[in-house]
Amino acid sequence: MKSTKVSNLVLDILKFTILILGAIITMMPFVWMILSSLKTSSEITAIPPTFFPKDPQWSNYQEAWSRAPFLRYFVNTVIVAVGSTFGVLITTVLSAFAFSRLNFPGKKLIFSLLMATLMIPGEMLVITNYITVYNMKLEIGETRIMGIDSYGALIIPWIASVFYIYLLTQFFMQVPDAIYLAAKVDKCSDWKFMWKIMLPMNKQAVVTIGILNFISSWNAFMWPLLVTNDPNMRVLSNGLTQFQSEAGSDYQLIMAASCILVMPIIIIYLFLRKYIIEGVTRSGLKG
Amino acid sequence: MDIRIENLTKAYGDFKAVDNMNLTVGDGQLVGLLGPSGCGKSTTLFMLAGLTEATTGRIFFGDKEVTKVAPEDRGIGLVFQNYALYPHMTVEDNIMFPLINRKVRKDAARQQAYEMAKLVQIENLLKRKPSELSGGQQQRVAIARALVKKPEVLLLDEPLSNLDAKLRVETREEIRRIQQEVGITTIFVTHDQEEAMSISDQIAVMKSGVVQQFDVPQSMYLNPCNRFVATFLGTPEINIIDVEVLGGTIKCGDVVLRTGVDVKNGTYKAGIRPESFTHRENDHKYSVNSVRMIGRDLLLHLDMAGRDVRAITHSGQSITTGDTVEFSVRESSIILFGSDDKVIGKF
Ligand SMILES: Nc1ncnc2c1ncn2[C@@H]1O[C@H](COP(=O)(O)OP(=O)(O)OP(=O)(O)O)[C@@H](O)[C@H]1O
Ligand SMILES: [Mg+2]
Repeated sequence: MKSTKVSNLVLDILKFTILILGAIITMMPFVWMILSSLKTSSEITAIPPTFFPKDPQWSNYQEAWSRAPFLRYFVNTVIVAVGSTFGVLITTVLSAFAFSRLNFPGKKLIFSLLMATLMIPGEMLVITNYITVYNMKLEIGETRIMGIDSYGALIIPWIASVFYIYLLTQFFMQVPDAIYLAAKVDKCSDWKFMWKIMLPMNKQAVVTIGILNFISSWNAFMWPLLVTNDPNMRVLSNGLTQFQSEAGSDYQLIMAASCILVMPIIIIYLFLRKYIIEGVTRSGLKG
Repeated sequence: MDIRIENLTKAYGDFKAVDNMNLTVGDGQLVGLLGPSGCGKSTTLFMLAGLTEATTGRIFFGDKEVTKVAPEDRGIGLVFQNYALYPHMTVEDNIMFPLINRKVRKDAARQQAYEMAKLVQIENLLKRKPSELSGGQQQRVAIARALVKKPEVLLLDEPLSNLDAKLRVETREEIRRIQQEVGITTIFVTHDQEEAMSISDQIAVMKSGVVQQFDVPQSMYLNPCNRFVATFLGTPEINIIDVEVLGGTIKCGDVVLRTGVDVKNGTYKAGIRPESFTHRENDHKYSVNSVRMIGRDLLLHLDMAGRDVRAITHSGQSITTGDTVEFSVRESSIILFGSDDKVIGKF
């Protein structure tokens, strides 16, 4: 009895040590980034390096903010991430519902074709998408809807994801037929069934898809770089690299800009933590 | 509202899940649709509900033909085997759902849902989610949801099969009570003959898509129309033995079961219910192979000319394995089946 208690304690200590170590290792670069963003330019390159800034330079943020139009980048990024996530959710929910519940000719074929596109590497799509976008210049008055340097180019190629469709179809298929039939008898149309029953029953999965898409859109780098030349159309990730070359050796400013970039994602995560964790564990997905 | 089913057939390719069914259910009656797994009970029920399209045949509710009417317009309440409650909604929202879809105002719907919940005695559970209820409670919610829109026909697909034995008995009485209280014409699907016999006004026994017999429970038990019905009803199961009729005497091996019957000479299958054996002095002596206690009764396995037959006798007697007992078979309880398994007569 006593010995098991002792060994349990040892086990607990070991467990927590490993967990704490893991947490420190994951947190370290992040903490380092925040601390560095508060150092002076001489302190950041000092050897040996200091851990805590001697005199926190909050003005670094001000300076980084003023050196490049981060607000503009930020707004662009939000527009793109929200737009594409909204699009993805709509296309994903509608097609998953169709594939899981509706019967129409060619359903299996269309689904297989979609699945087959998962085999095509994303890099190949980038080129064809680029050519399409390049040739599709579309302007209404002064605003460019499609073509290089447009929101359309940044958003529209990303408003449908075969992988998410596949994933959500699997979730929808797990909803028993009896529920659908019961709803039929209860005078619930297909449309209403989708919004009132299918969607709420799979809320976790839908929210997870939304969050994952939002994050990947937020972090997207290559595509926005390709289809934008105008600095005003840059998103945060490109803006940051651009800034990096401009700021040269002012690492503290780069760090401050990086902090600004990740902040919204962290805030979103804190708010939706419950959904993300449940959704990811339940869907067997890893972020 | 009475239900009339005329020549109803559902075919899947060459396979007939329901084959030329004819049935009339009187207003306010509870009819048990009984049969083994895969015999077409659910298919029948779903055709009545309008969820499965009939291949041929017609269905009438009252005077109105509903064969082509959409499920939501048939005025039916349907309860599924696994209840099919909406898991993300509270009990109250579940019950209100059919009303809201029928554009009933929210407060009126809530009021009706409450009354229905009270009828099935779950009015204190309205704010819970289905996952926070026991099987029996979920069952009641499903019934409340089916009844709340005041349907004229209630269809229940094996509503008790997910419950444990004791709860099953309680809940079936409860269903009977609710059905009587509402006075709704009800069709109740089950594969449990005891369940069907205990609460139904009438029973339809199905096999391979065909209705074998449609009758009140007692008369079906006493006068089955064929071997399948005889075997399907009753526990312990009826004994089916090979007998020979010669000059008006029914014999099983060298055991004389009956004399003076008016049946053509030949060999037959005979059915004898276990409870038809009765003690009689100086009758045939059977040796007892085994004795088992089942509730108030003793279940004996007897040796009848080398065949094992089940007999039930009350447990007051002290009978043990290896004893011999003197039994005869009660008047008109030997059921003879012809070569087509139809009943020839009872002797
Ligand atoms: N969509 C279908 N396609 C082909 N055959 C079907 C289909 N649906 C049901 N069947 C067949 O019809 C027969 C009757 O099915 P049904 O579901 O009515 O049986 P049941 O009597 O309700 O059985 P259980 O007690 O197991 O629920 C079964 O043999 C089944 O395999
Ligand atoms: Mg069934």
